[in-house]
Amino acid sequence: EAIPQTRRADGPITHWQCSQRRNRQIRYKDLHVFQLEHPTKVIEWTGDKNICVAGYTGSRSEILELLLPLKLYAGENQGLCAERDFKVQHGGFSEEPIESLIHISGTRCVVTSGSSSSTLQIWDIGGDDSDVIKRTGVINLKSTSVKGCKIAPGLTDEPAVLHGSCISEVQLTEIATGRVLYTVAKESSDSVSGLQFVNACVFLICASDGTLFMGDTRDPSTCHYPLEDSKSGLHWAFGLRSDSSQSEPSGCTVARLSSSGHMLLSDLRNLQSPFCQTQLNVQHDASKNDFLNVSWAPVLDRCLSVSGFDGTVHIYNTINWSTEGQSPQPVFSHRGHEMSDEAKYSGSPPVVTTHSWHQSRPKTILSVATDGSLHVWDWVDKITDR
Amino acid sequence: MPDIKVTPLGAGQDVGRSCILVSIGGKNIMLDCGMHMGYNDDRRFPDFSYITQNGRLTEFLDCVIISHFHLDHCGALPYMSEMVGYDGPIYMTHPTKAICPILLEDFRKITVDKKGETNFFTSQMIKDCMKKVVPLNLHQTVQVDEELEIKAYYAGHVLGAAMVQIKVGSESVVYTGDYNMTPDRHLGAAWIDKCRPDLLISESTYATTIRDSKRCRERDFLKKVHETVERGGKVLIPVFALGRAQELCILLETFWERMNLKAPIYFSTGLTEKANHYYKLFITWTNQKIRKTFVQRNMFEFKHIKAFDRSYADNPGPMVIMPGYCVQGTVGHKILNGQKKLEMEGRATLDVKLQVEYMSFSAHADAKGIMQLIRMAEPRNMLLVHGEAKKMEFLKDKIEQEFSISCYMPANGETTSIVTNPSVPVDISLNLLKREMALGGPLPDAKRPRTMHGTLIMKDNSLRLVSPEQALKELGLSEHQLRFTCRVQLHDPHSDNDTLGRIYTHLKSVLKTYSIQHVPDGTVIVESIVIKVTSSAEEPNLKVILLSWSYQVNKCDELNLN
Repeated sequence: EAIPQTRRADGPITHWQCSQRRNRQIRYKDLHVFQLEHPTKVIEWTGDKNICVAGYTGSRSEILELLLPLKLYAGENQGLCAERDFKVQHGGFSEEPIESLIHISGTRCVVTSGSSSSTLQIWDIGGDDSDVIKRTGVINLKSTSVKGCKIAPGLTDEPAVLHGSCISEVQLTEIATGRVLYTVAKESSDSVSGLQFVNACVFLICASDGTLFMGDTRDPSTCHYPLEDSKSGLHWAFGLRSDSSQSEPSGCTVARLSSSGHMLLSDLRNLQSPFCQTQLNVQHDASKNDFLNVSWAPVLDRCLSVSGFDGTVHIYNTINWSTEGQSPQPVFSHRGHEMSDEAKYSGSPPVVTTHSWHQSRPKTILSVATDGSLHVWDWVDKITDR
Repeated sequence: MPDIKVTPLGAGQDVGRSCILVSIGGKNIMLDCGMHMGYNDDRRFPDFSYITQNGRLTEFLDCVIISHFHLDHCGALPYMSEMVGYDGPIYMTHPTKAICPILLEDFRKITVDKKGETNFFTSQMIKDCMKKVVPLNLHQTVQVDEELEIKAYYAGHVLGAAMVQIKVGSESVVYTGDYNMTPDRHLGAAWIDKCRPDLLISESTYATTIRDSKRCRERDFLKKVHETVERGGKVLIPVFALGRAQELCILLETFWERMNLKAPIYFSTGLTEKANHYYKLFITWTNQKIRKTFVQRNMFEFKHIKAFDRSYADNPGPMVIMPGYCVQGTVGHKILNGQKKLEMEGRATLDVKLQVEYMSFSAHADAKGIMQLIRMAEPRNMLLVHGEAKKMEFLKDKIEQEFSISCYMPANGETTSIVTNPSVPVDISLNLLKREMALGGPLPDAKRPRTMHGTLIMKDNSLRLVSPEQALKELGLSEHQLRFTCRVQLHDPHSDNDTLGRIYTHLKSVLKTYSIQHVPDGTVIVESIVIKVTSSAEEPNLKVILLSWSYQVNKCDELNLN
């Protein structure tokens, strides 16, 4: 049968979806497209069905706790559930653009760092009696950083936050008292790209130049693992995969991604030598270092995702990766952010600012971009999902 | 203090119906008169006892305004006008006036004939109610009486939906009804000018929602339809002909054309012909694209969509998609609640062999839409109805901070008073203006008020500012001039003239900035104060200084007469 001329009158997304359908390839099991009033560069889970986002453009920013569309959870009765919208459950205002936002597990507390103040802000998201997110305190920092101080939640019973914008300033602060529980005794002014606890005591810091630092709050010294072949001008981000939040180092893999698409996978037991190095087929643009993101899928085995180079999110299966092979092909690429109406009419195409995997649904991902778009999508693996 | 009072009728937190009372400038207006679809007893009607305990409502209301034909906005209208009693004007747009009675009759039929209820309005009552309707055109000011005027604006949402501006003197309120800030395939988006009302009243049911994009919903809908058709099944869409149906028909028709599909689509409704007729009649209420295409062909005459024939019902496999609201008591409503067996009157039970999908295509404004509307209209105050206060505090803060206006969220049954600052227009006479201009000084400036003197005449509902002389003339009064005198005694051996001369010299030295004259006829004049010196023959050294002045407050206070 003749394939009719498609008219683009209805916009790029419908066209793109229709062309996929005609090719008998079902790419998405589900796709929901939303538009936030202000773009965010954070997505943080505060519950099974809740995420927090926060503005970073403009001096005053909104922090929102959103409830995911109930249709995603309707399961068997999905046909009868009409709820496909996000609900704003709580909202608050911050006096500065928000660079990072973390949730303290088991509490209704989130901590944010911004680009213009020398404090971390502590917030109470609130419960059923009020929908206002209130600021409950601050943690004073030694300095202000335009990129915002990097923060990570502590994994002990007593809520604490690990923070620092450069290596020598990294410390663990108890939220309730402001007491400093641990400081990194390293004289290094290298800027921090990311940090995260592996378990209650062991933590990792990734510097912007790709060097990894591993520390233990029971031990004042930290070990550091610089890159063998460090190229200047590149910015590095990292993603930690662990089986559970209380893992031993043996179960953990660290992925490091450079702004030119270079990828290193290391075992936590041997951070000195990565067990895999590869080059992803992406475009390098130095101005977009801010949004580099590499994340491991929480459910799927050895599956990771990458974003921040442009308006796409790429998903890779690292099982077959080898150091000598060619550039690996993604098992799926989400191009939705590039194809929106907003992208069509604006001067510069949108860039994905961050993305996050759903905690339990194996293939559901949330992604956000510089144009304020927020996508929730459930992708289909061409090979395994026939 | 002058204020506007707003009371949403209804009890507790129910959001199923709209009926809002507004008092402005001494006028009482009822906005919408909806039926609550969730109740089967009197609770479905608004509680009019707030207006009056018993008796008719006519003398208590200046007018009733209906925003659109959805039953939760007009369902209780015949009950209010014919069973409680109201004979005043009921305002609504032309499409609303045409479609309301159809919906009301349909609703009455189901409630009374099918469900057997008794305390309900009759067909005749619907007809009598509609006789009281005065139709509105968009952007046209209608004088309800000498002081009250109303104007309708396009609201999107459904055919004929309007937002209404109510104005008494310089105070005004805008009520949005249900509206939509994004255009869809057959309706445009809501629009209002920068009318700067004292108060903007908006529904907030969807205020905390971030809506899925229209494209995604449409894509999912089309996907389901296409999958069914590909399998050889049929698509059946029972939906009220004048709601979202037109939207879906255009969507399906366009998709069928593009994908070159041949399978027939059936449109199940008894109102098809009437629906098309109304859309043709009210073509100006649709969006621009439809109006443009209308010249070549009627967008509401579909190639692929046909009327349904009952014989198709028993085939297994067809997918039923029901966008929008299925009134309680209907088969549709039961199926959407998951019922698998239906008891049909006069027949045995039917098995539901259909695959059922429920989708919402309704067009409402979310938080972003509300902010957009506020930006358009620039109200001085904001009022949100039908939201839970606990869940709206963030939106209230957001509105208050972004626009520096107060945001109110009354519970149903609660009255909110909004203080207004109405300007009182006063005509000023030309003579008075000229006189003030002649006095010189800086020109009148809105930011720096200048004091002036005049007489305010309030007569025949008008206010005028005129000069005192003119006022006296108009009122037929003669002018009296007041002069005050005061006598001061002092001992001075000099002659009267010399004493006067010494007074003159002294005053000249201490009152340097004032005009002081020594007139030859024996008086000293300081500004407008006249000073004379006299003495009696018996006591020539006891001088009596006579001071005389007219009533000019500011000058006298400044002079310190010692």
